[in-house]
Amino acid sequence: MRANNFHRLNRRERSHLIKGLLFISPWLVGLLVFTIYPFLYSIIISFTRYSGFLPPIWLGWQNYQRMFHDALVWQSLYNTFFYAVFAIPLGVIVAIIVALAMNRQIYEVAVYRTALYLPSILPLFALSLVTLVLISPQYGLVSYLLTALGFPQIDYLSDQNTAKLIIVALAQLGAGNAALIFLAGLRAIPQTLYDAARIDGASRLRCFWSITLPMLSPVILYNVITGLSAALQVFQQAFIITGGGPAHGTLFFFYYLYNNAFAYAQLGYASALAVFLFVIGVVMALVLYAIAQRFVNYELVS
Amino acid sequence: MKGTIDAPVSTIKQKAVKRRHVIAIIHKLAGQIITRLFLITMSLLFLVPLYWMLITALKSTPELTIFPPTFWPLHVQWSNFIQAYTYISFGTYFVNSVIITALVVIGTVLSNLVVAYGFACIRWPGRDQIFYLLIATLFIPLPIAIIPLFDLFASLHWVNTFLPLVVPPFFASAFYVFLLRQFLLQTPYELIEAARIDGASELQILWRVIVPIARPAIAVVAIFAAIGAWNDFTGPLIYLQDDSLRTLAVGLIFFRSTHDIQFNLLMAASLMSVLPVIILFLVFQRFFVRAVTLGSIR
Amino acid sequence: MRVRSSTARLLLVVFLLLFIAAPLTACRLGQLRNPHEVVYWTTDTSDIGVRAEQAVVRAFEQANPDVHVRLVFIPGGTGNDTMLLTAVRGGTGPDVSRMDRFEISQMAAIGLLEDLKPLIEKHEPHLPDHYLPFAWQETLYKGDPYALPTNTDGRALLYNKDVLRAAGVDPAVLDPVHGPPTFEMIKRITLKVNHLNTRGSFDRVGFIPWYDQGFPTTWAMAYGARFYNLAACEITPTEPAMLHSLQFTYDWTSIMSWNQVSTFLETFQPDNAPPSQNAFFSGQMAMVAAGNWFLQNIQEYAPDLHYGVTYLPVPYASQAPYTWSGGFSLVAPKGAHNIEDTYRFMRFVAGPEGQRIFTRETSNLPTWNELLSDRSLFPGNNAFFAHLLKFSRSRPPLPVWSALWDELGTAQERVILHEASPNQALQAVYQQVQPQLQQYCPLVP
Repeated sequence: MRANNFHRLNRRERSHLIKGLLFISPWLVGLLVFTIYPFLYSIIISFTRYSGFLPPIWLGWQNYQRMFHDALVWQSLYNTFFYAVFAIPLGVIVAIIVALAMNRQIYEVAVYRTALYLPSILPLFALSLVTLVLISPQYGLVSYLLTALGFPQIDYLSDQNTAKLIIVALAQLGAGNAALIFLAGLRAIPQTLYDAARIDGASRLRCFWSITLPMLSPVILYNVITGLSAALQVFQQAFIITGGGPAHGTLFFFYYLYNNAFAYAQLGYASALAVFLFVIGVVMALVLYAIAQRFVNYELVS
Repeated sequence: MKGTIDAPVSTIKQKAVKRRHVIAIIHKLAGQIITRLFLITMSLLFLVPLYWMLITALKSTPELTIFPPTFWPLHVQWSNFIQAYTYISFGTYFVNSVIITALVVIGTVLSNLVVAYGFACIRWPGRDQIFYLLIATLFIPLPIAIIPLFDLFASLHWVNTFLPLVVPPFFASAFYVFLLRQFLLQTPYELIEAARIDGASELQILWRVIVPIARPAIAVVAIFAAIGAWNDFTGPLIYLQDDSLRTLAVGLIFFRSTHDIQFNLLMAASLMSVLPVIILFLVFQRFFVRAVTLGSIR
Repeated sequence: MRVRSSTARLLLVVFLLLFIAAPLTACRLGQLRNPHEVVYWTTDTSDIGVRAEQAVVRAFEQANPDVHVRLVFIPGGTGNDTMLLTAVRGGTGPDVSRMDRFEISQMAAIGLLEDLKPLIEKHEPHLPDHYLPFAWQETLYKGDPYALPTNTDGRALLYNKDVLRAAGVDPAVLDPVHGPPTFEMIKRITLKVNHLNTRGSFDRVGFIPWYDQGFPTTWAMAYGARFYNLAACEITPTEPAMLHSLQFTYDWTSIMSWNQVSTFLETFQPDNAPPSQNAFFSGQMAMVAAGNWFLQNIQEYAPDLHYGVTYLPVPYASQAPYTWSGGFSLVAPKGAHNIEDTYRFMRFVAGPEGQRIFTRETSNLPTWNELLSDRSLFPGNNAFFAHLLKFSRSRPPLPVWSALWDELGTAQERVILHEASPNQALQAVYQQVQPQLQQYCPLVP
């Protein structure tokens, strides 16, 4: 069938097809080697016991059964979802606020834009290190401010919940990226809508709720989905700041996966965890998309 | 006697107009002030970590443990930077970061440009379908590939070298291809066709026609690839075991876990790691906003 | 399509070169290794440890001038495992590495280590006889040795005579000549020593069973725990000995709760305190279950302390003394370049020459039998620990000790916090760890 189609192409089309494939060949090779092969390999290995030093041994569903009974799997899932539930909405809100700020018609707005965007491109390892200094119970700025406001002086890294919240707060510094996308979205909203609303006597707040937000809804959806993808992979900050503690309170799912693969050499089990993470990601994305169909307004955007 | 009857009415009107004018001006001023306050507060909040990094780097060791914390060092100690450089293998880490970043940028620009050209500037049957496949792959997360890739690189004996970090960018990535393709689609196809008729090969077209037009987009790709490679943590964590091969990201972290190091030195080193990114941003600011307009919003 | 333009050809050549050069660079690094070099990774990074390692390496090179040893210091903890695993997997691992003995079973099971049996049979088949039996046991996996033991340690009960006297207790009742004290006696003494200040917190305590070396396994060994059942290939965390051990800590919370103890420790010995700030040194704690390395600390930070050393407490009167010992060893990870020279190095360091140097430098105990009878190596209270070794029990080799250790610790915590009963907590340990052990069944002794 394919061969027939190929021959049905005229010489010019054939030459273009070959050239096109040649040009995209780096991506095709990359797709095979770095995406498809690992994907299949992960699935196959997830059914084995494999340390990397001995040949894999077939285990059937044992790894998945073990996952079900593994208390750390549930703990790390809880940690990850705790993080997602706080970080994603907060991230969207902060990004919108920053975008609104960047959208102001003020003379020196470029200065503010720089200040707001800059932290999002700074390396996370450096920001994690400075976080350690900021939250030191005795000498940190954060502790100082909070105790001045009347909060008790505690070691934020010794409580499971505050440790997670620290990581959530740290993530907000990266709002600059999303803010730029929201900014573009804001700019794309036709001014006529606002003018019409203003004539009808709508207040600023009303304008925001009824025009801005719905018009931004595709961008919000995009940010929520990418935010979810990032939240499921949160790892670096926990590795640097908390080491997974206290008592596994910041052991996120990907961190547990990393430990299993590289600290315990349990590649089979870690692959099962990776497959599980993938499935969760896909399911959540689909669920989000389905929910979004009700709320996202595509009409005037394209 | 029109004047006398109209005069009082017009004054009232004038006063009303004036009042509305004044209120409007006050409103505008207040709005401006409030907005500025808001912007300044937000900016300060976002800049606190960077600021704190700076002042901690300049503090002397005893001052690190003063309570309440000082907002500007009592004794500015510039020598901390020099000490950080000599005490930590900062030079090694820095050079490694630079080499890897440079190679990644080269690979990214080359491969993504070539692939995007294939998707945008040559019309071939099946092109759009395969492009949808490319978009689909955007959603496959990293974790599922980590272990098999590690295994692959281990059997190639590429572990503990730069290769696992530097070679994959030479095979294009869906994200940058997408970005570049969007941009390249804006070039009029007639230009390309004309060049073809003139006998130019595809690579010649790419080099002579497309690259000059696509320079801004290429710059964006290069900048983001550079930042991504400079900030990368997980990759170097997994593949760079020798201290002499480590980049700044993992080098500083591991150094901290194997040596006693005071936070002022650590912050000095962190600041020096962050500076290249800041400089890059300040020099190429306009490209960052451009990046957003390159990709379409779904 | 024929490649027409010269630019295209050039690009093609460049790309080809890159991909041929890449694997070549990887190979080249390997071949540059000196054939008579032994790369030795150690996690002994304390000041004392560094000196000791350097001394041993120097001694070996003097005795074996044809071999050069490259000493590399690696961070300890899980980070060390990761580095070792990744390096060996990628072909850049060391020839020999220091490793905690209780990890050997696990590392051997995943295939990380070289089986030393052929080398031992070839050079000296009676080598095992020279080592303390329990230490040699820990190096075995499925009957074959995968490591050579180096040092060992012991735990005992240390008591502060001044604190006891201040509370009206005669320190002589704890003298080791009476044999090991009972839990009851320790509890009675604790009740006398415990003192609350005006704000209702402890400013002096007798004994904290979950502090320092008071691991759940410590007390379980007092009750005679076996930890696993070979025939059934399963761990036995719910055996009576373990249940008793956790029950013991649970009952203790009725006289000292977790909160009170935490507050006490936070005040007198917070987490990041320097080694000189210790509740035992400063007279706030009367008794502590500690390891022999603690003697070195006392020597350095509280040389005038009036203290005594006796056996760890036991549950029943007239019970034989016991202690438990861990320790380190040397392993040869797979992919070692130079196995003959590596073995020579291992044999030296883990043999009488190396162990003698270590014992002198670090005050740790040797595992080489002949050295144990040399009194000159055990000055002062070290002699008591050397004497303890004959009562020592150790953790049986299991390929899941890392996980089991962590989980038992968590179980003890939960029981102390009254979050779970001993039975529930230990059941959870079984649920968590047994599936991991299952993968290695059947276990051959």
